[in-house]
Amino acid sequence: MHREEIYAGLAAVFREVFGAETLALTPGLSARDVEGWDSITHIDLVVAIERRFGLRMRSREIEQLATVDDIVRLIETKAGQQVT
Amino acid sequence: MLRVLELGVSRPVLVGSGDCVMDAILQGIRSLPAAEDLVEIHFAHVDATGPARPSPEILRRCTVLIEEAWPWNGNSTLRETDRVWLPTDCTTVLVPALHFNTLWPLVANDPRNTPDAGSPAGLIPYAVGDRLALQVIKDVADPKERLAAYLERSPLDLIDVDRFHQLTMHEFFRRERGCDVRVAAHVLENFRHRRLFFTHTNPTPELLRLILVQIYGHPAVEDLFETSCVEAAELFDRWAAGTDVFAGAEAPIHPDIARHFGLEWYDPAARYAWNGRLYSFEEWVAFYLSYAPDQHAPVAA
Repeated sequence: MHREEIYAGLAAVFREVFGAETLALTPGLSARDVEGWDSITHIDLVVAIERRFGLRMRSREIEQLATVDDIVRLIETKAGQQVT
Repeated sequence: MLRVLELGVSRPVLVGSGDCVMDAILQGIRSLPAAEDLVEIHFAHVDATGPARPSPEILRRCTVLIEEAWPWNGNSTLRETDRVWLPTDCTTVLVPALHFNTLWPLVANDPRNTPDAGSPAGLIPYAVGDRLALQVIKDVADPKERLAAYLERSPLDLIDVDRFHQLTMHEFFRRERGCDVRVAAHVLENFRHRRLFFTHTNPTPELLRLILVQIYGHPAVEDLFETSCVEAAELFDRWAAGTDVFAGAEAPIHPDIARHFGLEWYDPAARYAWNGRLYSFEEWVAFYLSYAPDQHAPVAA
Protein backbone atom coordinates (compact mmCIF):
# COMPACT_ATOMS: atom_id res chain seq x y z
CA MET A 1 0.00 0.00 0.00
CA HIS A 2 1.41 3.36 -1.02
CA ARG A 3 1.67 6.12 1.52
CA GLU A 4 -0.59 8.28 -0.68
CA GLU A 5 -3.28 5.63 -0.47
CA ILE A 6 -2.95 5.50 3.27
CA TYR A 7 -3.30 9.28 3.51
CA ALA A 8 -6.33 9.25 1.22
CA GLY A 9 -7.99 6.55 3.29
CA LEU A 10 -7.14 8.32 6.51
CA ALA A 11 -8.54 11.59 5.20
CA ALA A 12 -11.85 9.87 4.57
CA VAL A 13 -11.78 8.39 8.08
CA PHE A 14 -11.05 11.76 9.67
CA ARG A 15 -13.89 13.35 7.69
CA GLU A 16 -16.26 10.62 8.87
CA VAL A 17 -15.23 10.73 12.52
CA PHE A 18 -14.73 14.46 13.01
CA GLY A 19 -17.01 15.79 10.29
CA ALA A 20 -14.13 17.99 9.21
CA GLU A 21 -14.58 18.27 5.46
CA THR A 22 -11.61 20.54 4.87
CA LEU A 23 -9.14 19.05 7.31
CA ALA A 24 -5.71 18.66 5.70
CA LEU A 25 -3.78 15.70 7.06
CA THR A 26 -0.12 16.36 7.76
CA PRO A 27 2.33 14.00 9.46
CA GLY A 28 2.51 16.11 12.59
CA LEU A 29 -1.24 16.60 12.97
CA SER A 30 -2.29 15.58 16.48
CA ALA A 31 -5.20 15.80 18.88
CA ARG A 32 -4.13 19.34 19.74
CA ASP A 33 -4.87 20.43 16.18
CA VAL A 34 -8.22 18.76 15.62
CA GLU A 35 -11.30 19.92 17.45
CA GLY A 36 -12.99 17.00 19.14
CA TRP A 37 -10.03 14.59 18.96
CA ASP A 38 -9.88 13.34 22.51
CA SER A 39 -9.43 9.96 24.15
CA ILE A 40 -13.04 9.10 23.40
CA THR A 41 -13.13 10.03 19.73
CA HIS A 42 -9.74 8.33 19.49
CA ILE A 43 -11.72 5.09 19.84
CA ASP A 44 -14.02 6.11 16.96
CA LEU A 45 -10.92 6.85 14.95
CA VAL A 46 -9.25 3.52 15.67
CA VAL A 47 -12.39 1.49 14.91
CA ALA A 48 -12.88 3.36 11.65
CA ILE A 49 -9.20 2.94 10.69
CA GLU A 50 -9.28 -0.78 11.46
CA ARG A 51 -12.39 -1.19 9.35
CA ARG A 52 -11.08 0.90 6.47
CA PHE A 53 -7.69 -0.78 6.29
CA GLY A 54 -8.75 -4.24 7.42
CA LEU A 55 -6.34 -4.48 10.31
CA ARG A 56 -6.36 -4.86 14.07
CA MET A 57 -4.29 -2.74 16.43
CA ARG A 58 -3.07 -3.87 19.82
CA SER A 59 -4.03 -1.90 22.94
CA ARG A 60 -0.51 -0.64 23.56
CA GLU A 61 -0.19 0.45 19.96
CA ILE A 62 -3.41 2.41 20.19
CA GLU A 63 -2.26 4.22 23.32
CA GLN A 64 0.91 5.31 21.55
CA LEU A 65 -0.78 6.84 18.53
CA ALA A 66 -0.34 10.57 18.91
CA THR A 67 0.05 11.95 15.41
CA VAL A 68 -1.08 11.19 11.89
CA ASP A 69 2.45 10.03 11.18
CA ASP A 70 2.20 7.49 14.03
CA ILE A 71 -1.00 6.18 12.49
CA VAL A 72 0.45 5.99 9.00
CA ARG A 73 3.54 4.15 10.21
CA LEU A 74 1.44 1.67 12.15
CA ILE A 75 -0.75 1.01 9.13
CA GLU A 76 2.37 0.46 7.04
CA THR A 77 3.75 -1.94 9.60
CA LYS A 78 0.47 -3.79 9.85
CA ALA A 79 0.17 -3.95 6.10
CA GLY A 80 3.64 -5.46 6.12
CA GLN A 81 4.80 -3.42 3.18
CA GLN A 82 7.57 -0.96 2.58
CA VAL A 83 6.67 2.58 1.70
CA THR A 84 7.21 3.42 -1.92
CA MET B 1 -21.52 18.57 65.06
CA LEU B 2 -22.00 20.22 68.45
CA ARG B 3 -18.35 19.70 69.27
CA VAL B 4 -17.32 21.66 66.22
CA LEU B 5 -19.78 24.47 66.72
CA GLU B 6 -19.21 24.84 70.45
CA LEU B 7 -15.47 25.12 70.14
CA GLY B 8 -15.82 27.58 67.31
CA VAL B 9 -13.44 25.51 65.25
CA SER B 10 -13.69 26.15 61.54
CA ARG B 11 -15.06 23.28 59.55
CA PRO B 12 -12.84 21.25 57.25
CA VAL B 13 -13.31 22.08 53.59
CA LEU B 14 -14.17 19.58 50.89
CA VAL B 15 -13.99 20.71 47.28
CA GLY B 16 -15.35 18.65 44.40
CA SER B 17 -13.88 19.50 41.02
CA GLY B 18 -15.43 18.34 37.78
CA ASP B 19 -18.59 18.67 35.75
CA CYS B 20 -22.20 17.69 36.37
CA VAL B 21 -21.14 14.23 37.57
CA MET B 22 -19.15 15.83 40.40
CA ASP B 23 -22.13 18.03 41.20
CA ALA B 24 -24.21 14.84 41.56
CA ILE B 25 -21.52 13.23 43.72
CA LEU B 26 -21.59 16.24 46.03
CA GLN B 27 -25.38 15.99 46.23
CA GLY B 28 -24.92 12.46 47.52
CA ILE B 29 -22.34 13.56 50.09
CA ARG B 30 -24.57 16.40 51.25
CA SER B 31 -27.27 13.82 51.98
CA LEU B 32 -25.23 12.46 54.90
CA PRO B 33 -26.43 13.44 58.38
CA ALA B 34 -25.39 16.99 59.27
CA ALA B 35 -22.98 16.94 56.37
CA GLU B 36 -22.82 20.68 55.93
CA ASP B 37 -22.69 21.35 59.66
CA LEU B 38 -19.55 19.28 59.79
CA VAL B 39 -17.90 20.13 56.50
CA GLU B 40 -17.84 23.08 54.12
CA ILE B 41 -18.65 21.57 50.75
CA HIS B 42 -17.87 23.45 47.55
CA PHE B 43 -18.25 22.61 43.89
CA ALA B 44 -15.58 23.70 41.43
CA HIS B 45 -17.21 23.41 38.02
CA VAL B 46 -14.59 22.77 35.39
CA ASP B 47 -16.20 25.19 32.93
CA ALA B 48 -17.46 27.82 35.34
CA THR B 49 -16.10 31.30 35.60
CA GLY B 50 -18.69 32.48 38.09
CA PRO B 51 -20.19 31.25 41.33
CA ALA B 52 -19.28 27.59 40.86
CA ARG B 53 -15.62 28.42 41.18
CA PRO B 54 -14.23 28.45 44.73
CA SER B 55 -12.27 31.48 45.80
CA PRO B 56 -8.56 31.28 46.69
CA GLU B 57 -9.62 31.76 50.30
CA ILE B 58 -11.65 28.54 50.16
CA LEU B 59 -9.01 26.60 48.24
CA ARG B 60 -6.31 27.62 50.72
CA ARG B 61 -8.34 25.86 53.44
CA CYS B 62 -9.17 22.78 51.37
CA THR B 63 -8.80 19.58 53.37
CA VAL B 64 -9.93 17.14 50.71
CA LEU B 65 -10.19 17.64 46.98
CA ILE B 66 -12.36 15.15 45.12
CA GLU B 67 -11.37 15.55 41.52
CA GLU B 68 -12.56 14.08 38.27
CA ALA B 69 -9.48 12.98 36.36
CA TRP B 70 -9.90 13.92 32.72
CA PRO B 71 -7.08 12.35 30.72
CA TRP B 72 -7.59 14.85 27.89
CA ASN B 73 -7.13 17.66 30.41
CA GLY B 74 -3.89 16.61 32.08
CA ASN B 75 -5.75 14.08 34.25
CA SER B 76 -7.36 16.92 36.16
CA THR B 77 -10.30 19.27 36.13
CA LEU B 78 -9.19 21.91 38.62
CA ARG B 79 -7.56 24.81 36.84
CA GLU B 80 -3.85 25.13 37.42
CA THR B 81 -4.42 28.74 38.46
CA ASP B 82 -6.74 27.45 41.18
CA ARG B 83 -4.63 24.44 42.14
CA VAL B 84 -1.78 26.65 43.31
CA TRP B 85 -3.89 27.76 46.26
CA LEU B 86 -4.31 24.25 47.69
CA PRO B 87 -2.38 23.58 50.89
CA THR B 88 0.37 21.00 50.65
CA ASP B 89 -1.41 18.67 53.06
CA CYS B 90 -4.64 18.63 51.07
CA THR B 91 -5.64 15.07 50.15
CA THR B 92 -6.79 14.47 46.59
CA VAL B 93 -9.26 11.69 45.83
CA LEU B 94 -9.29 10.96 42.10
CA VAL B 95 -12.47 9.87 40.35
CA PRO B 96 -12.22 8.66 36.75
CA ALA B 97 -14.06 10.45 33.99
CA LEU B 98 -17.13 8.41 33.15
CA HIS B 99 -17.46 7.62 29.48
CA PHE B 100 -19.31 4.53 28.40
CA ASN B 101 -20.00 4.85 24.70
CA THR B 102 -20.77 1.19 24.03
CA LEU B 103 -24.52 1.80 23.89
CA TRP B 104 -24.12 5.01 21.88
CA PRO B 105 -21.34 4.19 19.43
CA LEU B 106 -22.29 6.89 16.94
CA VAL B 107 -22.30 9.99 19.13
CA ALA B 108 -21.07 12.95 17.12
CA ASN B 109 -21.01 16.69 16.97
CA ASP B 110 -24.07 17.82 15.07
CA PRO B 111 -23.10 20.85 12.98
CA ARG B 112 -26.66 22.20 13.29
CA ASN B 113 -26.44 22.38 17.05
CA THR B 114 -26.22 25.86 18.45
CA PRO B 115 -26.86 26.98 22.00
CA ASP B 116 -29.87 29.17 22.53
CA ALA B 117 -31.69 30.73 25.43
CA GLY B 118 -34.08 27.79 25.82
CA SER B 119 -31.38 25.13 25.65
CA PRO B 120 -27.90 26.38 26.62
CA ALA B 121 -26.23 23.25 25.22
CA GLY B 122 -28.36 23.35 22.07
CA LEU B 123 -31.12 20.95 21.07
CA ILE B 124 -28.74 18.16 20.02
CA PRO B 125 -25.55 18.38 22.07
CA TYR B 126 -22.72 15.92 21.60
CA ALA B 127 -24.13 13.33 24.02
CA VAL B 128 -27.10 12.67 21.74
CA GLY B 129 -25.48 13.43 18.40
CA ASP B 130 -26.00 10.59 15.93
CA ARG B 131 -23.66 9.97 13.02
CA LEU B 132 -26.20 7.66 11.37
CA ALA B 133 -28.80 10.45 11.37
CA LEU B 134 -26.28 12.93 10.02
CA GLN B 135 -25.46 10.50 7.23
CA VAL B 136 -29.16 10.15 6.37
CA ILE B 137 -29.60 13.93 6.32
CA LYS B 138 -26.69 14.14 3.93
CA ASP B 139 -27.86 11.31 1.67
CA VAL B 140 -31.61 11.90 1.54
CA ALA B 141 -32.66 15.24 0.12
CA ASP B 142 -36.37 15.05 0.89
CA PRO B 143 -36.92 15.61 4.63
CA LYS B 144 -40.14 13.57 4.47
CA GLU B 145 -38.20 10.48 3.42
CA ARG B 146 -35.49 10.71 6.05
CA LEU B 147 -37.24 8.92 8.91
CA ALA B 148 -37.95 5.85 6.77
CA ALA B 149 -34.39 5.95 5.46
CA TYR B 150 -33.03 6.10 8.99
CA LEU B 151 -35.14 3.19 10.17
CA GLU B 152 -34.01 1.09 7.21
CA ARG B 153 -30.38 1.47 8.19
CA SER B 154 -28.57 0.06 11.18
CA PRO B 155 -25.65 1.30 13.23
CA LEU B 156 -24.36 -2.27 13.02
CA ASP B 157 -23.64 -1.66 9.34
CA LEU B 158 -21.72 1.49 10.09
CA ILE B 159 -19.45 0.35 12.86
CA ASP B 160 -18.01 -2.83 14.37
CA VAL B 161 -19.81 -2.42 17.69
CA ASP B 162 -18.03 -5.34 19.36
CA ARG B 163 -14.64 -3.87 18.59
CA PHE B 164 -15.91 -0.48 19.67
CA HIS B 165 -17.05 -2.01 22.97
CA GLN B 166 -13.63 -3.64 23.48
CA LEU B 167 -11.85 -0.34 22.97
CA THR B 168 -14.36 1.59 25.05
CA MET B 169 -13.74 -0.72 27.97
CA HIS B 170 -9.98 -0.68 27.42
CA GLU B 171 -10.09 3.10 27.58
CA PHE B 172 -12.35 2.98 30.66
CA PHE B 173 -9.87 0.74 32.49
CA ARG B 174 -6.98 2.91 31.33
CA ARG B 175 -8.64 6.06 32.68
CA GLU B 176 -9.00 4.40 36.06
CA ARG B 177 -5.31 3.67 36.46
CA GLY B 178 -4.12 5.80 39.34
CA CYS B 179 -7.65 6.73 40.43
CA ASP B 180 -9.08 6.08 43.90
CA VAL B 181 -12.44 5.09 42.46
CA ARG B 182 -12.85 2.23 40.00
CA VAL B 183 -16.09 1.30 38.34
CA ALA B 184 -15.10 -0.06 34.92
CA ALA B 185 -15.25 -3.68 36.04
CA HIS B 186 -18.71 -3.11 37.51
CA VAL B 187 -19.87 -1.51 34.29
CA LEU B 188 -18.46 -4.32 32.19
CA GLU B 189 -20.09 -6.99 34.32
CA ASN B 190 -23.47 -5.35 34.72
CA PHE B 191 -24.37 -3.10 31.79
CA ARG B 192 -26.40 -5.87 30.15
CA HIS B 193 -28.34 -6.60 33.33
CA ARG B 194 -29.04 -3.12 34.66
CA ARG B 195 -29.15 0.40 33.35
CA LEU B 196 -26.00 2.18 34.48
CA PHE B 197 -25.98 5.22 32.19
CA PHE B 198 -28.62 7.68 30.93
CA THR B 199 -26.18 9.05 28.36
CA HIS B 200 -22.63 7.98 27.65
CA THR B 201 -21.41 10.38 30.34
CA ASN B 202 -24.33 10.58 32.77
CA PRO B 203 -24.54 7.67 35.22
CA THR B 204 -27.69 6.33 36.78
CA PRO B 205 -28.06 6.47 40.59
CA GLU B 206 -26.79 2.87 40.87
CA LEU B 207 -23.41 3.85 39.49
CA LEU B 208 -23.34 7.10 41.43
CA ARG B 209 -23.93 5.11 44.60
CA LEU B 210 -21.00 2.83 43.81
CA ILE B 211 -18.78 5.87 43.28
CA LEU B 212 -19.96 7.49 46.51
CA VAL B 213 -19.28 4.35 48.53
CA GLN B 214 -15.74 4.20 47.18
CA ILE B 215 -15.09 7.88 47.78
CA TYR B 216 -16.33 7.54 51.32
CA GLY B 217 -14.11 4.50 51.78
CA HIS B 218 -11.12 6.82 51.50
CA PRO B 219 -10.05 7.55 55.10
CA ALA B 220 -9.50 11.23 54.39
CA VAL B 221 -13.15 11.56 53.41
CA GLU B 222 -14.62 9.34 56.10
CA ASP B 223 -12.69 11.24 58.77
CA LEU B 224 -14.46 14.47 57.82
CA PHE B 225 -17.84 13.13 58.89
CA GLU B 226 -19.35 11.29 61.83
CA THR B 227 -20.86 8.46 59.82
CA SER B 228 -19.10 5.13 59.42
CA CYS B 229 -18.45 3.86 55.90
CA VAL B 230 -20.95 1.05 56.54
CA GLU B 231 -23.72 3.44 57.58
CA ALA B 232 -22.80 5.77 54.75
CA ALA B 233 -23.20 2.97 52.21
CA GLU B 234 -26.76 2.42 53.45
CA LEU B 235 -27.48 6.14 53.36
CA PHE B 236 -26.12 6.43 49.83
CA ASP B 237 -28.41 3.54 48.93
CA ARG B 238 -31.40 5.53 50.16
CA TRP B 239 -30.22 8.66 48.43
CA ALA B 240 -29.78 6.79 45.17
CA ALA B 241 -33.26 5.31 45.44
CA GLY B 242 -34.81 8.75 45.78
CA THR B 243 -32.76 10.98 43.52
CA ASP B 244 -33.76 11.95 40.00
CA VAL B 245 -30.35 13.36 39.12
CA PHE B 246 -29.70 13.03 35.36
CA ALA B 247 -33.09 11.38 34.80
CA GLY B 248 -34.27 14.33 32.73
CA ALA B 249 -31.69 13.87 29.99
CA GLU B 250 -31.68 10.43 28.41
CA ALA B 251 -29.95 9.48 25.20
CA PRO B 252 -32.15 6.98 23.34
CA ILE B 253 -30.59 3.62 22.60
CA HIS B 254 -30.94 2.20 19.11
CA PRO B 255 -32.96 -1.05 19.21
CA ASP B 256 -30.31 -2.84 17.14
CA ILE B 257 -27.66 -1.93 19.70
CA ALA B 258 -29.91 -3.12 22.55
CA ARG B 259 -30.55 -6.41 20.77
CA HIS B 260 -26.92 -6.88 19.84
CA PHE B 261 -25.73 -6.55 23.42
CA GLY B 262 -28.75 -8.35 24.88
CA LEU B 263 -29.76 -5.57 27.25
CA GLU B 264 -32.10 -7.29 29.70
CA TRP B 265 -33.53 -4.03 31.00
CA TYR B 266 -34.22 -2.50 27.62
CA ASP B 267 -37.83 -1.67 26.82
CA PRO B 268 -38.45 -1.04 23.10
CA ALA B 269 -41.53 1.00 24.02
CA ALA B 270 -39.67 3.18 26.51
CA ARG B 271 -39.93 6.94 26.27
CA TYR B 272 -36.84 9.03 26.79
CA ALA B 273 -36.82 12.38 28.55
CA TRP B 274 -35.13 15.20 26.74
CA ASN B 275 -35.51 18.95 27.18
CA GLY B 276 -38.68 18.50 29.18
CA ARG B 277 -40.44 16.13 26.77
CA LEU B 278 -40.74 12.38 26.41
CA TYR B 279 -39.96 10.64 23.13
CA SER B 280 -40.25 7.08 21.92
CA PHE B 281 -37.23 5.99 19.90
CA GLU B 282 -38.98 6.66 16.59
CA GLU B 283 -40.32 10.03 17.77
CA TRP B 284 -36.82 10.87 18.89
CA VAL B 285 -35.38 10.07 15.48
CA ALA B 286 -38.06 12.21 13.82
CA PHE B 287 -37.20 15.07 16.17
CA TYR B 288 -33.52 14.60 15.53
CA LEU B 289 -33.83 14.56 11.77
CA SER B 290 -36.04 17.64 11.69
CA TYR B 291 -34.17 19.40 14.47
CA ALA B 292 -37.53 20.64 15.69
CA PRO B 293 -38.91 19.54 19.06
CA ASP B 294 -42.23 17.72 18.83
CA GLN B 295 -44.67 20.09 20.49
CA HIS B 296 -47.11 17.21 20.90
CA ALA B 297 -44.70 14.94 22.75
CA PRO B 298 -45.72 14.33 26.37
CA VAL B 299 -44.14 16.63 28.90
CA ALA B 300 -41.61 14.90 31.15
CA ALA B 301 -42.45 14.88 34.85
